[in-house]
Amino acid sequence: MKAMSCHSVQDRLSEFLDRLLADEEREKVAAHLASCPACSARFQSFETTRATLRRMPNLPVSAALAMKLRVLASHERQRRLSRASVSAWLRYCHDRASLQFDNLMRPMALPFAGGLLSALLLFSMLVPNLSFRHTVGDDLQLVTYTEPEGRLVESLPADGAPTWFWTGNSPEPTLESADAVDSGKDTVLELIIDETGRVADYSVSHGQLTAEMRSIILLSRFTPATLNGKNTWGKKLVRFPSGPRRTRRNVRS
Amino acid sequence: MATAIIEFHPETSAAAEPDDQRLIEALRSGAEPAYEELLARFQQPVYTLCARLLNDEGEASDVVQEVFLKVFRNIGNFRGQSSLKTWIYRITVNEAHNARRWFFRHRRREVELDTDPNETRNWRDTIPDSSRSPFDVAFDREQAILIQAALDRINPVFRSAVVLRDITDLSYEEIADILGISLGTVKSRILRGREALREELIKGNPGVQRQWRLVPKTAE
Repeated sequence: MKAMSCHSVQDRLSEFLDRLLADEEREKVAAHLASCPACSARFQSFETTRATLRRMPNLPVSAALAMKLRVLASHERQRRLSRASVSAWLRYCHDRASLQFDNLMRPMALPFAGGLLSALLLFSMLVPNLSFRHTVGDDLQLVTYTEPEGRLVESLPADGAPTWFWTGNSPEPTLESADAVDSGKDTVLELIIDETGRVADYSVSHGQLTAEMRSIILLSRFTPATLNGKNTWGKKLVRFPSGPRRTRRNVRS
Repeated sequence: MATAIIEFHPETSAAAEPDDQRLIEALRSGAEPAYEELLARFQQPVYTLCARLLNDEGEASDVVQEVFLKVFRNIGNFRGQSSLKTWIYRITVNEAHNARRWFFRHRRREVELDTDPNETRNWRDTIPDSSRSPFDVAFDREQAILIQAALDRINPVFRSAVVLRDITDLSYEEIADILGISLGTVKSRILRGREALREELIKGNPGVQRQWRLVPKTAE
């Protein structure tokens, strides 16, 4: 039987260790190992390494990982079952949707209930002490607004001496603030006054546009409204009383 | 001359065994006990394989979940050309390989903030085994650390072959099936892997130049 070289034996050491060599080859390797200390030492270290590898402690699966795997298996099983029929699929979708909804709502339920209860408790404690006093004037006035002011003019004087005249036949109309209460009976002319004091637009409620109104619109001049000292647009109401006709009189400024 | 201590295992059939077929059919039909049986049979070996291939228990946990997700989702497509075990191990080796590549690309510079897994073990894991002496336990732990470090330093191609052979205890045919390589290549990789591991262990133990031996167990 021809002896093997060290190189040949070393190439076969792994298979020899795993008992995968044919009988004849195995005997040759065994004979070489018995006579060659270097190869024998090499084989011994192979064997020791493998023994240590096999004796390495088994790494236990942690409880957390085992639980995750069970949950994963459960989900995948449900997923597989849901594909069996349409009704199973619909039930699966419904279960998932309700689970998602529960998961979404559950974290909010306690804070919401707690907040609501504490709000109710606080409110019920505070209600007897609540008072609704109006502290008008305490606030710092941030916006100053003045309404447009002026006198109504039906016609301009011939000599130019008096500035403002009322020469109409009807009872003298009154100039009122834009937020005055409308009685519903009087004819009201609403004037929009621009920043130069002229009438820019108008509208008539409860009546027709008369010649007097036209004159008022054309001839009247106003001190424009101001907002924080600057001229701005404003609104005024001209109320024409619906009472009995009074005597004619002049209005001088 | 030292003798091999491992017993020779007759080669297992490459095709799925009848027991596997029953389990696969039950999994396909969505039977709950089948899912539990699959986990009971494979979660421990798959986790050990991942942990030994990756040397990172946290990473191994993630990979195990990926493996079982793929197994559950693809069991319908499993044709039974290989055994269930080799199919699952093939997925495990591929996933571990992908995780390792991803790790080296993305997470090399990250700082680990998780607590040490050893600190989160429950009390059962930390109670010492009374059947073995504290010296043996400490010695084996030291050896395991050394060998794991050496495994981590060798070429991943050889490491897969050695781990599948010597830790997972698979036959050469099963390893060839799992890695998708020829039997000759498996033999070559195991030999070269063992050589590389031996050299790394000698490098890691300067006091043991020519061979490193284990001290006999004192408890036996």
